[in-house]
Amino acid sequence: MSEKLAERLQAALSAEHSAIFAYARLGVLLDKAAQKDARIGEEMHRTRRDALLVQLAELKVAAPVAQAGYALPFPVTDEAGALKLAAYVEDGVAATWRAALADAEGEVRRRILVAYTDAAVRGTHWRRLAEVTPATVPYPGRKTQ
Amino acid sequence: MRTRGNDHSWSAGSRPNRRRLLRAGAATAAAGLAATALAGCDLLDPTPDTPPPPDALMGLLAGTHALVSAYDAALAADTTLSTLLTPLRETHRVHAAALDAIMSPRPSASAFTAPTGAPVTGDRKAILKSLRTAEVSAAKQAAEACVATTTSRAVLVGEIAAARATHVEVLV
Repeated sequence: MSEKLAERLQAALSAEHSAIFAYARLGVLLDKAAQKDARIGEEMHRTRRDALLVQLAELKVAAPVAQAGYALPFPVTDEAGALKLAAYVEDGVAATWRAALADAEGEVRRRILVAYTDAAVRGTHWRRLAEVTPATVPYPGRKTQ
Repeated sequence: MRTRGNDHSWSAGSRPNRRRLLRAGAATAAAGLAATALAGCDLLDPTPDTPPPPDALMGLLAGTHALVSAYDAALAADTTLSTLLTPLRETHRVHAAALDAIMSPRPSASAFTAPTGAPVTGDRKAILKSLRTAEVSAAKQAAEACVATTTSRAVLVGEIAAARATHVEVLV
């Protein structure tokens, strides 16, 4: 288990913390169907967070704690803003997991890939609801494309 | 090549002279050089008649080309799907080019001159369902390839796996 991987997992945990915070903020601005999706998304990020806490404890590596609040990247006051924020946080989570791929092998890499793919799919889902076209990108989580 | 000098030296009989010794030395050196060159050749290319094994990502690349063909057929069958399907097909093309660029040996283009797939039939719903099935299976193929591949290739192959999964999300 490389030191680099530990750093990548710490970054992933920080991203998961901020996603959980964002979902709690944006949920109320969505319609009923989307609220259900947001709850499922939030639950998934809590599950990943808990798995990361266990993994980092096993590695005897410090786990970054959640902050009391996170500055939102843009004002979120309506449904459109909420959908945009949901896509934004999923992209951020996808990017941190993607960055960890090359520092792991075998089953550890597989778990990272699953988390990365899940965030990429969820981000696409929110863009589809926001009617962003196309809702997909060639390289999910890559900064420049 | 025989020269006047050569003739002169040979005519001097068997008595060794400086010129003959130099010539003999040069010939030995040349022979040695040739032998070294051949040995070097062997070292780098032990079986020149056997082509190198295909790259481990060949299956993933073939699957990528198959997806492009599937989208070609779907687009030909229903032009109203163009807005939805064109960016997805383009993504698979971009992936094919990216794989092609890192593979060794470079795959020959002719290997993928698409077997013209069966013409797509059915309504919009059936077409999307068939593409969805293809993407789900292709995403699994890429995920396995990502787990199995080298460190330096893990990100690209992982990106391809994730991108395919996101396609399933929009094929509705």
